[in-house]
Amino acid sequence: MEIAAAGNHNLFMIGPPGSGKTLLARSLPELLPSLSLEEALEVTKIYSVSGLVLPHQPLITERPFRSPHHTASGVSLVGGGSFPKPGEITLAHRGVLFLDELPEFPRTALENLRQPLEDGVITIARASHTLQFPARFTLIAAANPCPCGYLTDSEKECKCSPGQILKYQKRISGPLLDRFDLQIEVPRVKFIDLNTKNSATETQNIIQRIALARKIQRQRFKDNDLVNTFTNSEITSQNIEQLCPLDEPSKQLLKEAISKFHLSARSYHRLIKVARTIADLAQAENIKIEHLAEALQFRMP
Amino acid sequence: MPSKIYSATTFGLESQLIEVEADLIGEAAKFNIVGLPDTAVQEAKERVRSAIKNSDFAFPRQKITVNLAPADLKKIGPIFDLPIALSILLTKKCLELPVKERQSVFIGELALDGTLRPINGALSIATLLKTSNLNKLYLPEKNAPEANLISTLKIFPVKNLLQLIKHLKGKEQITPLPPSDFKIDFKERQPLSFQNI
Repeated sequence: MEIAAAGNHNLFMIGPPGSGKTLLARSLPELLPSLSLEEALEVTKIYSVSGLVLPHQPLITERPFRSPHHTASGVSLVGGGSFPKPGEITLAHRGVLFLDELPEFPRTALENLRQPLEDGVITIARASHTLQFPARFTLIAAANPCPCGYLTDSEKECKCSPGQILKYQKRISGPLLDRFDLQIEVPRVKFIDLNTKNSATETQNIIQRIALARKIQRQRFKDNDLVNTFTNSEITSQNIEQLCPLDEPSKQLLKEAISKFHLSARSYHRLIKVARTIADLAQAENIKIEHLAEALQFRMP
Repeated sequence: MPSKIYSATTFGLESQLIEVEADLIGEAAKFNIVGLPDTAVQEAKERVRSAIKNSDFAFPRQKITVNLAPADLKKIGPIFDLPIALSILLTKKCLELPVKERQSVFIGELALDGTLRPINGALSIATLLKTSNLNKLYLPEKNAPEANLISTLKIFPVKNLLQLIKHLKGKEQITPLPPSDFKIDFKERQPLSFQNI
Protein backbone atom coordinates (compact mmCIF):
# COMPACT_ATOMS: atom_id res chain seq x y z
CA MET A 1 0.00 0.00 0.00
CA GLU A 2 2.76 2.32 1.00
CA ILE A 3 4.74 1.57 -2.15
CA ALA A 4 1.71 2.04 -4.38
CA ALA A 5 1.05 5.42 -2.80
CA ALA A 6 4.64 6.57 -2.95
CA GLY A 7 5.37 5.72 -6.57
CA ASN A 8 1.90 5.64 -8.14
CA HIS A 9 2.20 1.96 -8.93
CA ASN A 10 -0.78 -0.09 -9.97
CA LEU A 11 -1.92 -2.51 -7.33
CA PHE A 12 -3.88 -5.74 -7.63
CA MET A 13 -5.28 -7.28 -4.46
CA ILE A 14 -6.62 -10.77 -4.31
CA GLY A 15 -8.22 -12.31 -1.26
CA PRO A 16 -11.27 -13.88 0.32
CA PRO A 17 -14.43 -11.82 0.93
CA GLY A 18 -14.28 -9.54 3.93
CA SER A 19 -10.51 -9.46 4.17
CA GLY A 20 -10.44 -5.68 3.89
CA LYS A 21 -9.45 -5.17 0.26
CA THR A 22 -12.03 -2.48 -0.31
CA LEU A 23 -11.29 -0.77 2.96
CA LEU A 24 -7.58 -0.69 2.13
CA ALA A 25 -8.22 0.81 -1.28
CA ARG A 26 -10.55 3.46 0.08
CA SER A 27 -7.91 4.54 2.55
CA LEU A 28 -5.30 5.08 -0.14
CA PRO A 29 -6.22 8.68 -1.04
CA GLU A 30 -5.62 9.61 2.59
CA LEU A 31 -2.04 8.42 2.29
CA LEU A 32 -1.36 10.50 -0.77
CA PRO A 33 0.02 14.01 -0.52
CA SER A 34 -2.24 16.89 -1.66
CA LEU A 35 -2.14 17.98 -5.25
CA SER A 36 0.41 20.58 -6.22
CA LEU A 37 -1.00 23.78 -7.69
CA GLU A 38 -0.24 22.78 -11.28
CA GLU A 39 -1.80 19.35 -10.75
CA ALA A 40 -4.81 20.91 -9.02
CA LEU A 41 -5.45 23.19 -12.02
CA GLU A 42 -5.17 20.22 -14.38
CA VAL A 43 -7.69 18.21 -12.35
CA THR A 44 -10.05 21.15 -11.84
CA LYS A 45 -10.14 21.74 -15.59
CA ILE A 46 -11.32 18.17 -16.16
CA TYR A 47 -13.97 18.50 -13.46
CA SER A 48 -15.01 21.89 -14.82
CA VAL A 49 -15.70 20.44 -18.26
CA SER A 50 -17.64 17.61 -16.63
CA GLY A 51 -19.65 20.10 -14.57
CA LEU A 52 -18.47 18.67 -11.25
CA VAL A 53 -16.86 21.75 -9.69
CA LEU A 54 -18.67 23.10 -6.65
CA PRO A 55 -19.03 26.89 -6.46
CA HIS A 56 -17.88 27.09 -2.84
CA GLN A 57 -14.77 25.04 -3.58
CA PRO A 58 -13.54 26.20 -6.97
CA LEU A 59 -10.14 24.49 -6.84
CA ILE A 60 -9.92 20.76 -6.35
CA THR A 61 -7.05 20.10 -3.99
CA GLU A 62 -7.69 16.54 -2.93
CA ARG A 63 -6.61 13.71 -5.19
CA PRO A 64 -9.62 12.22 -6.92
CA PHE A 65 -10.78 8.75 -5.96
CA ARG A 66 -13.11 7.15 -8.47
CA SER A 67 -14.70 3.78 -7.94
CA PRO A 68 -17.10 2.94 -10.76
CA HIS A 69 -19.40 -0.01 -10.24
CA HIS A 70 -18.63 -3.13 -12.26
CA THR A 71 -21.64 -2.55 -14.51
CA ALA A 72 -19.69 0.35 -16.05
CA SER A 73 -19.53 0.37 -19.85
CA GLY A 74 -16.36 0.82 -21.86
CA VAL A 75 -17.27 4.35 -22.88
CA SER A 76 -18.07 5.42 -19.33
CA LEU A 77 -14.61 4.23 -18.26
CA VAL A 78 -12.42 5.73 -20.95
CA GLY A 79 -14.62 8.55 -22.18
CA GLY A 80 -16.31 9.07 -25.52
CA GLY A 81 -19.68 9.66 -27.06
CA SER A 82 -20.35 11.58 -30.24
CA PHE A 83 -19.23 14.72 -28.39
CA PRO A 84 -16.46 13.04 -26.42
CA LYS A 85 -16.69 13.55 -22.68
CA PRO A 86 -14.06 12.54 -20.12
CA GLY A 87 -14.60 9.09 -18.63
CA GLU A 88 -13.78 7.66 -15.24
CA ILE A 89 -10.08 7.21 -16.03
CA THR A 90 -9.76 10.89 -16.92
CA LEU A 91 -11.71 11.91 -13.83
CA ALA A 92 -9.22 9.83 -11.83
CA HIS A 93 -6.29 11.76 -13.38
CA ARG A 94 -3.58 12.37 -10.76
CA GLY A 95 -5.60 10.25 -8.35
CA VAL A 96 -6.85 6.74 -7.84
CA LEU A 97 -9.14 4.60 -9.96
CA PHE A 98 -10.45 1.73 -7.89
CA LEU A 99 -12.03 -1.22 -9.63
CA ASP A 100 -13.62 -3.45 -7.03
CA GLU A 101 -14.52 -7.00 -8.12
CA LEU A 102 -12.31 -6.73 -11.19
CA PRO A 103 -13.39 -10.03 -12.82
CA GLU A 104 -17.02 -8.86 -12.78
CA PHE A 105 -16.26 -5.98 -15.15
CA PRO A 106 -17.09 -6.64 -18.80
CA ARG A 107 -14.00 -7.85 -20.59
CA THR A 108 -14.22 -5.22 -23.33
CA ALA A 109 -14.37 -2.45 -20.75
CA LEU A 110 -11.22 -3.69 -19.04
CA GLU A 111 -9.23 -4.17 -22.23
CA ASN A 112 -9.91 -0.49 -23.00
CA LEU A 113 -7.70 0.37 -20.05
CA ARG A 114 -4.60 -1.25 -21.51
CA GLN A 115 -3.35 1.60 -23.66
CA PRO A 116 -4.10 4.48 -21.23
CA LEU A 117 -2.38 2.54 -18.45
CA GLU A 118 0.81 2.65 -20.49
CA ASP A 119 0.61 6.13 -21.98
CA GLY A 120 -1.17 8.18 -19.35
CA VAL A 121 -3.43 9.64 -22.02
CA ILE A 122 -6.45 8.35 -23.87
CA THR A 123 -6.87 9.27 -27.52
CA ILE A 124 -10.46 9.20 -28.64
CA ALA A 125 -10.86 9.13 -32.40
CA ARG A 126 -14.18 9.95 -33.99
CA ALA A 127 -15.03 10.48 -37.63
CA SER A 128 -14.97 14.26 -37.35
CA HIS A 129 -12.11 14.77 -34.91
CA THR A 130 -9.60 13.18 -32.58
CA LEU A 131 -9.30 14.20 -28.96
CA GLN A 132 -6.86 13.49 -26.19
CA PHE A 133 -7.74 13.31 -22.52
CA PRO A 134 -5.12 12.95 -19.80
CA ALA A 135 -5.42 9.75 -17.76
CA ARG A 136 -2.46 9.41 -15.45
CA PHE A 137 -3.94 7.48 -12.57
CA THR A 138 -3.08 4.77 -10.10
CA LEU A 139 -5.14 1.70 -10.76
CA ILE A 140 -6.14 -0.27 -7.71
CA ALA A 141 -8.07 -3.45 -8.33
CA ALA A 142 -9.54 -6.01 -5.99
CA ALA A 143 -10.76 -9.50 -6.76
CA ASN A 144 -11.69 -12.77 -5.16
CA PRO A 145 -9.54 -15.73 -6.20
CA CYS A 146 -12.51 -17.86 -7.28
CA PRO A 147 -16.33 -17.64 -7.61
CA CYS A 148 -16.96 -18.72 -3.99
CA GLY A 149 -14.09 -16.53 -2.83
CA TYR A 150 -12.34 -18.82 -0.38
CA LEU A 151 -9.62 -20.42 -2.51
CA THR A 152 -6.79 -18.66 -0.69
CA ASP A 153 -8.52 -18.70 2.68
CA SER A 154 -6.68 -20.53 5.43
CA GLU A 155 -9.79 -21.55 7.35
CA LYS A 156 -12.77 -21.85 5.07
CA GLU A 157 -12.83 -24.45 2.35
CA CYS A 158 -13.29 -23.54 -1.31
CA LYS A 159 -16.27 -25.15 -2.99
CA CYS A 160 -15.36 -24.41 -6.59
CA SER A 161 -14.32 -26.94 -9.18
CA PRO A 162 -10.93 -26.44 -10.88
CA GLY A 163 -12.74 -25.58 -14.09
CA GLN A 164 -14.75 -22.86 -12.40
CA ILE A 165 -11.64 -21.38 -10.83
CA LEU A 166 -9.78 -21.36 -14.11
CA LYS A 167 -12.73 -19.76 -15.89
CA TYR A 168 -13.01 -17.08 -13.21
CA GLN A 169 -9.32 -16.23 -13.26
CA LYS A 170 -9.27 -16.14 -17.05
CA ARG A 171 -11.69 -13.22 -17.01
CA ILE A 172 -8.72 -10.95 -16.37
CA SER A 173 -6.44 -11.03 -19.35
CA GLY A 174 -2.70 -11.59 -19.15
CA PRO A 175 -1.78 -8.25 -20.73
CA LEU A 176 -3.88 -6.41 -18.15
CA LEU A 177 -2.40 -8.38 -15.27
CA ASP A 178 1.06 -7.64 -16.62
CA ARG A 179 0.38 -3.95 -16.05
CA PHE A 180 -0.03 -4.32 -12.32
CA ASP A 181 3.31 -3.57 -10.68
CA LEU A 182 2.24 -4.87 -7.32
CA GLN A 183 0.20 -8.01 -6.97
CA ILE A 184 -0.58 -8.93 -3.42
CA GLU A 185 -2.60 -11.50 -1.58
CA VAL A 186 -4.76 -10.12 1.20
CA PRO A 187 -5.24 -12.78 3.90
CA ARG A 188 -8.22 -13.23 6.19
CA VAL A 189 -8.16 -10.96 9.21
CA LYS A 190 -7.76 -12.91 12.45
CA PHE A 191 -9.98 -12.15 15.43
CA ILE A 192 -7.06 -11.04 17.54
CA ASP A 193 -6.02 -8.51 14.88
CA LEU A 194 -9.55 -7.14 14.81
CA ASN A 195 -9.25 -6.16 18.43
CA THR A 196 -5.80 -4.61 18.37
CA LYS A 197 -5.61 -1.19 16.87
CA ASN A 198 -2.82 0.58 15.11
CA SER A 199 -1.80 3.80 16.68
CA ALA A 200 -2.44 7.05 14.88
CA THR A 201 1.23 8.00 15.08
CA GLU A 202 2.13 4.99 12.96
CA THR A 203 -0.18 6.25 10.24
CA GLN A 204 1.34 9.69 10.47
CA ASN A 205 4.78 8.13 10.02
CA ILE A 206 3.64 6.34 6.88
CA ILE A 207 2.15 9.54 5.48
CA GLN A 208 5.40 11.36 6.16
CA ARG A 209 7.50 8.63 4.56
CA ILE A 210 5.33 8.75 1.45
CA ALA A 211 5.51 12.52 1.25
CA LEU A 212 9.28 12.38 1.58
CA ALA A 213 9.64 9.64 -1.06
CA ARG A 214 7.53 11.73 -3.45
CA LYS A 215 9.69 14.76 -2.78
CA ILE A 216 12.84 12.77 -3.55
CA GLN A 217 11.33 11.59 -6.82
CA ARG A 218 10.23 15.06 -7.86
CA GLN A 219 13.66 16.47 -7.11
CA ARG A 220 15.35 13.75 -9.17
CA PHE A 221 13.11 14.47 -12.15
CA LYS A 222 13.72 18.20 -11.84
CA ASP A 223 17.49 17.58 -11.76
CA ASN A 224 17.14 15.61 -14.97
CA ASP A 225 14.95 18.19 -16.72
CA LEU A 226 11.84 16.05 -16.67
CA VAL A 227 9.31 18.70 -15.80
CA ASN A 228 6.17 16.70 -16.45
CA THR A 229 7.17 13.60 -14.55
CA PHE A 230 5.95 13.39 -10.98
CA THR A 231 6.36 9.79 -9.84
CA ASN A 232 8.48 6.74 -10.56
CA SER A 233 5.72 4.94 -12.42
CA GLU A 234 5.86 7.62 -15.10
CA ILE A 235 9.51 7.05 -16.00
CA THR A 236 9.83 6.22 -19.68
CA SER A 237 11.95 3.32 -20.87
CA GLN A 238 14.42 5.76 -22.46
CA ASN A 239 15.16 7.36 -19.11
CA ILE A 240 15.12 4.27 -16.97
CA GLU A 241 18.81 3.47 -17.25
CA GLN A 242 19.82 7.00 -16.41
CA LEU A 243 17.43 7.37 -13.46
CA CYS A 244 17.53 3.88 -12.02
CA PRO A 245 21.09 2.57 -12.26
CA LEU A 246 21.51 -0.99 -10.99
CA ASP A 247 24.58 -2.44 -9.32
CA GLU A 248 26.13 -5.77 -10.38
CA PRO A 249 24.43 -8.12 -7.87
CA SER A 250 21.04 -6.58 -8.66
CA LYS A 251 21.58 -7.10 -12.36
CA GLN A 252 22.46 -10.70 -11.69
CA LEU A 253 19.31 -11.20 -9.62
CA LEU A 254 17.17 -9.58 -12.28
CA LYS A 255 18.68 -11.79 -14.95
CA GLU A 256 17.88 -14.90 -12.96
CA ALA A 257 14.37 -13.75 -12.13
CA ILE A 258 13.53 -12.98 -15.71
CA SER A 259 14.62 -16.35 -16.99
CA LYS A 260 13.00 -18.19 -14.11
CA PHE A 261 9.62 -16.46 -14.06
CA HIS A 262 9.56 -15.68 -17.80
CA LEU A 263 8.92 -12.01 -17.19
CA SER A 264 8.02 -9.72 -20.08
CA ALA A 265 10.03 -6.69 -21.12
CA ARG A 266 7.33 -4.54 -19.59
CA SER A 267 7.54 -6.39 -16.30
CA TYR A 268 11.29 -5.90 -16.36
CA HIS A 269 10.91 -2.11 -16.58
CA ARG A 270 8.11 -2.03 -14.06
CA LEU A 271 10.15 -4.09 -11.63
CA ILE A 272 12.98 -1.61 -11.73
CA LYS A 273 10.58 1.28 -11.18
CA VAL A 274 9.03 -0.40 -8.15
CA ALA A 275 12.52 -1.10 -6.80
CA ARG A 276 13.30 2.60 -7.30
CA THR A 277 10.26 3.53 -5.21
CA ILE A 278 11.21 1.09 -2.47
CA ALA A 279 14.69 2.59 -2.46
CA ASP A 280 13.19 6.08 -2.26
CA LEU A 281 11.05 5.05 0.71
CA ALA A 282 14.20 3.80 2.39
CA GLN A 283 15.89 7.07 1.36
CA ALA A 284 18.62 5.18 -0.43
CA GLU A 285 20.61 6.89 -3.18
CA ASN A 286 20.70 3.91 -5.52
CA ILE A 287 18.74 0.71 -5.93
CA LYS A 288 20.27 -2.12 -3.94
CA ILE A 289 19.65 -5.82 -4.21
CA GLU A 290 17.24 -5.91 -1.28
CA HIS A 291 15.03 -3.31 -2.89
CA LEU A 292 14.90 -5.29 -6.08
CA ALA A 293 14.18 -8.50 -4.20
CA GLU A 294 11.28 -6.82 -2.43
CA ALA A 295 9.92 -5.55 -5.73
CA LEU A 296 10.22 -9.02 -7.16
CA GLN A 297 8.12 -10.64 -4.47
CA PHE A 298 5.19 -8.40 -5.40
CA ARG A 299 5.04 -10.06 -8.80
CA MET A 300 3.21 -13.30 -8.27
CA PRO A 301 4.35 -15.71 -10.96
CA MET B 1 -26.12 46.24 -39.31
CA PRO B 2 -25.31 42.84 -37.92
CA SER B 3 -23.91 42.72 -34.40
CA LYS B 4 -20.99 40.61 -33.33
CA ILE B 5 -19.82 39.48 -29.90
CA TYR B 6 -17.49 36.83 -28.62
CA SER B 7 -18.38 33.66 -26.83
CA ALA B 8 -16.62 30.34 -26.35
CA THR B 9 -17.31 26.66 -26.04
CA THR B 10 -15.46 23.63 -24.75
CA PHE B 11 -14.29 20.91 -27.08
CA GLY B 12 -12.88 17.93 -25.26
CA LEU B 13 -10.94 19.56 -22.46
CA GLU B 14 -9.87 22.48 -24.62
CA SER B 15 -11.93 25.48 -25.61
CA GLN B 16 -12.57 27.38 -28.76
CA LEU B 17 -13.60 30.95 -29.35
CA ILE B 18 -16.99 31.40 -31.03
CA GLU B 19 -18.25 34.55 -32.70
CA VAL B 20 -21.96 35.15 -32.24
CA GLU B 21 -23.51 37.32 -34.93
CA ALA B 22 -27.11 38.47 -35.21
CA ASP B 23 -28.94 40.31 -37.96
CA LEU B 24 -32.50 41.51 -38.60
CA ILE B 25 -33.73 40.97 -42.15
CA GLY B 26 -37.23 41.53 -43.49
CA GLU B 27 -40.54 41.86 -41.70
CA ALA B 28 -41.75 38.26 -41.17
CA ALA B 29 -41.36 37.30 -37.49
CA LYS B 30 -38.90 34.41 -37.58
CA PHE B 31 -35.94 33.26 -35.54
CA ASN B 32 -33.17 31.14 -37.01
CA ILE B 33 -29.95 29.90 -35.46
CA VAL B 34 -27.31 28.64 -37.89
CA GLY B 35 -23.81 27.22 -37.39
CA LEU B 36 -24.50 23.54 -36.66
CA PRO B 37 -26.55 23.98 -33.48
CA ASP B 38 -27.68 20.90 -31.55
CA THR B 39 -31.10 20.62 -29.93
CA ALA B 40 -30.06 22.46 -26.77
CA VAL B 41 -28.82 25.41 -28.87
CA GLN B 42 -32.00 25.33 -30.97
CA GLU B 43 -34.07 25.53 -27.82
CA ALA B 44 -32.16 28.64 -26.82
CA LYS B 45 -34.70 30.48 -29.00
CA GLU B 46 -37.45 29.98 -26.45
CA ARG B 47 -35.25 30.77 -23.44
CA VAL B 48 -33.85 33.89 -25.09
CA ARG B 49 -37.29 35.10 -26.13
CA SER B 50 -38.65 34.78 -22.59
CA ALA B 51 -35.54 36.17 -20.92
CA ILE B 52 -35.59 39.28 -23.10
CA LYS B 53 -39.31 39.82 -22.49
CA ASN B 54 -38.85 39.36 -18.73
CA SER B 55 -35.98 41.83 -18.70
CA ASP B 56 -38.44 44.52 -19.90
CA PHE B 57 -37.37 44.60 -23.54
CA ALA B 58 -39.53 43.86 -26.54
CA PHE B 59 -38.47 40.91 -28.64
CA PRO B 60 -38.08 42.06 -32.28
CA ARG B 61 -40.98 41.14 -34.60
CA GLN B 62 -38.68 40.67 -37.56
CA LYS B 63 -36.70 37.87 -39.12
CA ILE B 64 -33.70 37.27 -36.89
CA THR B 65 -30.72 35.25 -38.02
CA VAL B 66 -28.12 34.26 -35.47
CA ASN B 67 -24.86 32.80 -36.73
CA LEU B 68 -22.41 30.91 -34.59
CA ALA B 69 -18.99 30.97 -36.24
CA PRO B 70 -16.91 28.96 -37.14
CA ALA B 71 -19.87 27.41 -38.91
CA ASP B 72 -18.34 23.95 -39.35
CA LEU B 73 -17.94 23.24 -35.63
CA LYS B 74 -20.89 21.53 -34.01
CA LYS B 75 -22.26 23.73 -31.18
CA ILE B 76 -23.63 21.95 -28.18
CA GLY B 77 -25.29 22.89 -24.92
CA PRO B 78 -26.99 25.97 -23.55
CA ILE B 79 -23.77 28.00 -23.12
CA PHE B 80 -24.72 30.38 -25.98
CA ASP B 81 -28.02 31.61 -24.47
CA LEU B 82 -26.48 34.78 -23.05
CA PRO B 83 -24.46 35.84 -26.12
CA ILE B 84 -27.46 35.15 -28.39
CA ALA B 85 -29.73 37.32 -26.22
CA LEU B 86 -27.13 40.09 -26.14
CA SER B 87 -26.47 40.04 -29.87
CA ILE B 88 -30.22 40.33 -30.55
CA LEU B 89 -30.49 43.34 -28.24
CA LEU B 90 -27.44 44.84 -29.92
CA THR B 91 -28.69 44.44 -33.45
CA LYS B 92 -32.07 45.87 -32.41
CA LYS B 93 -30.20 48.89 -31.01
CA CYS B 94 -31.72 48.42 -27.53
CA LEU B 95 -28.18 48.42 -26.36
CA GLU B 96 -24.80 49.54 -27.63
CA LEU B 97 -21.58 47.73 -26.93
CA PRO B 98 -19.07 50.20 -25.45
CA VAL B 99 -15.69 50.18 -27.22
CA LYS B 100 -13.96 48.83 -24.13
CA GLU B 101 -16.29 45.81 -24.14
CA ARG B 102 -15.64 44.84 -27.78
CA GLN B 103 -13.01 42.35 -26.61
CA SER B 104 -15.19 40.75 -23.93
CA VAL B 105 -16.42 37.17 -23.91
CA PHE B 106 -19.94 36.24 -22.78
CA ILE B 107 -21.09 32.79 -21.72
CA GLY B 108 -24.10 31.51 -19.81
CA GLU B 109 -27.38 29.64 -19.81
CA LEU B 110 -30.51 31.73 -19.36
CA ALA B 111 -33.52 30.90 -17.26
CA LEU B 112 -36.89 32.12 -18.56
CA ASP B 113 -36.84 35.02 -16.11
CA GLY B 114 -33.40 36.11 -17.30
CA THR B 115 -31.38 34.62 -14.42
CA LEU B 116 -28.10 33.02 -15.39
CA ARG B 117 -27.59 29.33 -14.73
CA PRO B 118 -24.14 27.76 -14.34
CA ILE B 119 -22.45 26.12 -17.32
CA ASN B 120 -19.72 23.51 -17.72
CA GLY B 121 -16.12 24.20 -18.63
CA ALA B 122 -15.66 27.74 -17.26
CA LEU B 123 -12.06 27.05 -16.24
CA SER B 124 -11.22 25.61 -19.64
CA ILE B 125 -12.59 28.74 -21.33
CA ALA B 126 -10.70 31.00 -18.94
CA THR B 127 -7.50 29.11 -19.78
CA LEU B 128 -8.12 29.77 -23.46
CA LEU B 129 -8.64 33.50 -22.88
CA LYS B 130 -5.36 33.68 -21.00
CA THR B 131 -3.53 32.92 -24.22
CA SER B 132 -5.64 35.26 -26.38
CA ASN B 133 -5.90 39.04 -26.35
CA LEU B 134 -9.41 38.92 -24.87
CA ASN B 135 -9.24 39.54 -21.17
CA LYS B 136 -12.77 40.13 -19.92
CA LEU B 137 -15.10 37.25 -19.20
CA TYR B 138 -18.79 37.65 -18.29
CA LEU B 139 -20.22 34.44 -16.91
CA PRO B 140 -22.81 33.06 -14.46
CA GLU B 141 -22.15 33.98 -10.85
CA LYS B 142 -21.75 30.37 -9.77
CA ASN B 143 -18.99 29.71 -12.31
CA ALA B 144 -17.03 32.84 -11.42
CA PRO B 145 -14.84 31.35 -8.64
CA GLU B 146 -13.50 28.55 -10.82
CA ALA B 147 -12.76 30.88 -13.77
CA ASN B 148 -11.07 33.23 -11.33
CA LEU B 149 -8.31 30.67 -10.82
CA ILE B 150 -6.76 32.21 -13.93
CA SER B 151 -5.45 35.36 -12.39
CA THR B 152 -4.66 37.42 -15.50
CA LEU B 153 -8.30 37.81 -16.48
CA LYS B 154 -11.06 40.15 -15.38
CA ILE B 155 -13.92 37.92 -14.30
CA PHE B 156 -17.39 39.48 -14.08
CA PRO B 157 -19.96 37.39 -12.19
CA VAL B 158 -23.39 38.05 -13.69
CA LYS B 159 -26.66 37.40 -11.82
CA ASN B 160 -29.13 38.03 -14.60
CA LEU B 161 -29.55 39.49 -18.05
CA LEU B 162 -30.96 42.79 -16.79
CA GLN B 163 -27.97 43.34 -14.51
CA LEU B 164 -25.58 42.81 -17.42
CA ILE B 165 -27.56 45.19 -19.66
CA LYS B 166 -27.41 47.89 -16.99
CA HIS B 167 -23.69 47.28 -16.64
CA LEU B 168 -23.10 47.62 -20.38
CA LYS B 169 -25.18 50.80 -20.44
CA GLY B 170 -23.00 52.15 -17.64
CA LYS B 171 -25.86 52.45 -15.15
CA GLU B 172 -24.92 49.87 -12.56
CA GLN B 173 -21.42 48.48 -12.55
CA ILE B 174 -20.66 44.83 -11.91
CA THR B 175 -17.42 44.63 -9.97
CA PRO B 176 -14.94 42.06 -11.23
CA LEU B 177 -13.76 39.45 -8.72
CA PRO B 178 -10.51 40.22 -6.93
CA PRO B 179 -7.64 37.93 -7.97
CA SER B 180 -7.89 34.70 -6.04
CA ASP B 181 -5.22 33.57 -3.66
CA PHE B 182 -4.95 29.83 -3.55
CA LYS B 183 -4.23 29.81 0.14
CA ILE B 184 -7.83 29.46 1.17
CA ASP B 185 -8.14 26.24 -0.74
CA PHE B 186 -5.06 24.44 0.46
CA LYS B 187 -6.38 24.03 3.96
CA GLU B 188 -4.90 21.69 6.53
CA ARG B 189 -6.13 18.17 6.10
CA GLN B 190 -7.68 16.34 8.97
CA PRO B 191 -5.10 13.90 10.30
CA LEU B 192 -6.44 10.44 9.73
CA SER B 193 -5.61 7.26 11.48
CA PHE B 194 -5.67 3.73 10.20
CA GLN B 195 -7.12 2.54 13.44
CA ASN B 196 -10.10 0.93 11.82
CA ILE B 197 -8.21 -0.99 9.22
